[in-house]
Amino acid sequence: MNVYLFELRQQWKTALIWTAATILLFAFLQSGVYPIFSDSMIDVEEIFRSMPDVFLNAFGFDISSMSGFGEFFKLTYLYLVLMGAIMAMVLSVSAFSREKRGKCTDFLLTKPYSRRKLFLMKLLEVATQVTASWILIFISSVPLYLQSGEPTEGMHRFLLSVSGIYFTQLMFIGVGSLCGIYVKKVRSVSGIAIAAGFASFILTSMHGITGEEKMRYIAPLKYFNPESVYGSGGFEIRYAAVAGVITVACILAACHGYCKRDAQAV
Amino acid sequence: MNILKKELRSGIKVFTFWILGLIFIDFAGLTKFTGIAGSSASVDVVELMGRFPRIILAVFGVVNLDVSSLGGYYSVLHFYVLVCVSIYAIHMGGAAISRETSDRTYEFIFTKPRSRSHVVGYKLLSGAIFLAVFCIIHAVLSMFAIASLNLDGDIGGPIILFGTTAFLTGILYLTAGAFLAAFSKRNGIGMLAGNIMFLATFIIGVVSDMFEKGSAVRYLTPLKYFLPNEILQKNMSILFFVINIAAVGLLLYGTMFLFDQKDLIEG
Amino acid sequence: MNTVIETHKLTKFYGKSRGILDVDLSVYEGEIFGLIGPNGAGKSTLIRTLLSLIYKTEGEATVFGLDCHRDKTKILEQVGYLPGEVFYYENMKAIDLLRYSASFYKRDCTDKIQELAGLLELDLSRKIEDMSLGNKKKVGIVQGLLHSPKLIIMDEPTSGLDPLMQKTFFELIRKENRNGATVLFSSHILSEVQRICSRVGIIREGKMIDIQKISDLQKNTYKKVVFSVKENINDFVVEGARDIAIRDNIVSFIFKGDCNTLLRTISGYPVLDVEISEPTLDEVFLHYYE
Repeated sequence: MNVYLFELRQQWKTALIWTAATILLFAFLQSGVYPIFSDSMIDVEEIFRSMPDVFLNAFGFDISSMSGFGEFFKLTYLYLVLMGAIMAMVLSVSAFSREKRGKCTDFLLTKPYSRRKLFLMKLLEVATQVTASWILIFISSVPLYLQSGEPTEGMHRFLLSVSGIYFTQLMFIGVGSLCGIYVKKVRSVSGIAIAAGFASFILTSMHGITGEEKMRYIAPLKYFNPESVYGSGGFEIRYAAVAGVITVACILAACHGYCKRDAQAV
Repeated sequence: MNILKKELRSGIKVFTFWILGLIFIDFAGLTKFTGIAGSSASVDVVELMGRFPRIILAVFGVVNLDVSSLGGYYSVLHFYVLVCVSIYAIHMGGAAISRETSDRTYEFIFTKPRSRSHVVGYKLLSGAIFLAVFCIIHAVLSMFAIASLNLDGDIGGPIILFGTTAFLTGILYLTAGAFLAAFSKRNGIGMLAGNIMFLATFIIGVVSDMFEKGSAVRYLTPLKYFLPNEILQKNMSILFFVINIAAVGLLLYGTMFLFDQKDLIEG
Repeated sequence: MNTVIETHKLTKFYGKSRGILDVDLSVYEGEIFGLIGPNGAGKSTLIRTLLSLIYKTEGEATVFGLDCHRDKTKILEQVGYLPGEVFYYENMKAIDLLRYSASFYKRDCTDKIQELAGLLELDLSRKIEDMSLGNKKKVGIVQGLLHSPKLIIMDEPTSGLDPLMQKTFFELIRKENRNGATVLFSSHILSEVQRICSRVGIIREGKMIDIQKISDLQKNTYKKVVFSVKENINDFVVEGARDIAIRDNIVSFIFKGDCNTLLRTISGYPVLDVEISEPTLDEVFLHYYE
């Protein structure tokens, strides 16, 4: 447990700051921007009906039913999940490259622990932080929903959509562990996290703009799409499976690398 | 020149990586542009879009754009390229200052008979060259991809302007990255500051899009200095060119000044 | 004699923590000057300040009569530096690094590189990151000397070199010195400094506490003497001994003086074993605090 606690001590502040920033952005969008959006939606429905279908399709979903709190969340989801993905990357890359960055790999690897145990402790620690962060986001989304005046029956859908961020984060923990272990010199943790986060953002947006269904498979931020939660009531199995496979594959590969590779000399 | 050569050589790997991403965006994106333009010919899309809540457009990154036209569609893809340019630039800028100390090669390079400004200047120049080539390749790829679509209408002019403005935005982020790294005592903090700055300007960009009168916010984010609709309609404001270049000059001066004062120690 | 390095009340603080304090130092042309002191004494700080890697807080420092900070590039033209720990760029062969290094100076260094590499038995076609610590150090040595600098500055140059290579290295330094180079280097090994230097500066807790000629130092060389005797011994006196400690029939002390007197005195006891060795630096330094 010492490694677990050590890692926790090392980066709880980072996790807290990211969580706070995400919640602030979330609150800003859902309670600050939403009312403006809501007001302007009244006469927009009219416009939609006069639009050609092809045009509406370019937006990637049924644009004619966009009023409502949950609908607005669908719009902003991409930015929130981007924040979440970057956060998961930061924590994961940071934990798995800590010794490499401090040039003290020898220190940890000569302790009487198996490498697998070290790996699992670090993984568990990152998962704990991301989960704790998600719980805070989850809790804060309840008052955000209630103050919007929406009927409480619809809340479970909103909360499930919010959880999509968490599942996406779990995938990025895997990706982060892989980067942290296989990238030879980790100069800037935030640099890797930002690059990975925005690469995912661009891939996801490209799926939106091109409307190419196949691209959905490489649109990581839409594997857990609030769209389908509001449509069918749950996440699409197919994409959730893709996310699951990526997560497991990354973690296995990372663990293999951590256990089998030669420790880098300083 | 020796420093420049070495920097260009050691930067080529990362550059190739970014170019691959660029090829993907330009080709996979542009070749998917289908006949939306043709089918909506009867509708005044721009007018329709104008009645849309701006917030939706902002979230989709299509404020003041007609995504059913080639120009509008291209603008959206171009924004993704701009994001790449900015991230790439801010990382190169930070590395120009902190790479030698973090790799502990600073004792080698900074005990050579060259001033620190000389060394950093060439490093930044190599960054600017990579950015310029990146933007040129972007423009050329775009033209090829669009040519393969066999569409009517020519947006060659705007494409060159898109490329040029992306370069300007790039060197602004490059110098900003260097400045933040020179300003920070420790390397990690400098790189972190650069990344946070990018993220902040990105979010400010979206927010500035959301509000009709977001123009004051616009000054805060270089990502919004050169707006696609202004490029397409050829009514760009010279003011932002001036601001951009002045900011580059100031940041460059600040970088050199601060870096020259700095104690070089490991970190 | 011309001074090559001259400092006056040179002081460096890292924020609030001390680097060096009021250091006065003159290094003359053609000499080999050793800086000696324990870890954290400020040796590296002094060297780095002279090289303008870090900046002085107060005082003055000149090299070749030029201001360390203002005329940095002019000074560095004629300076070769070997850092304590060598780190070089990833993915570079030794020869590439050396050519890169040579490209900073206005002269052709190809022959010199080959000559130095031959002397040090260094394979230039290997990648630096795959080299052992000692070989990396050799790259550092070649890198520091390839432009035949007038002033050679080295920070603990022998750490990581095996004794045989240390010998070669010192011969190399002597040769450069004979050809007119002034040498300043730091060390924490007294014998090393005694072997090669003409003068030595002793630095402790940031202060230059003494500067001595090696010839003078040798006259009053301190020795650590330990001997054990068969029977109980209560008292031991000899001229020039200090810090005398007697325990379990073992006598130990620091000695400076006439060796004959020492040996004669010791031989008066029923000696079982005797060891006369170089004192550790700290033991020598104690003297400077009396």
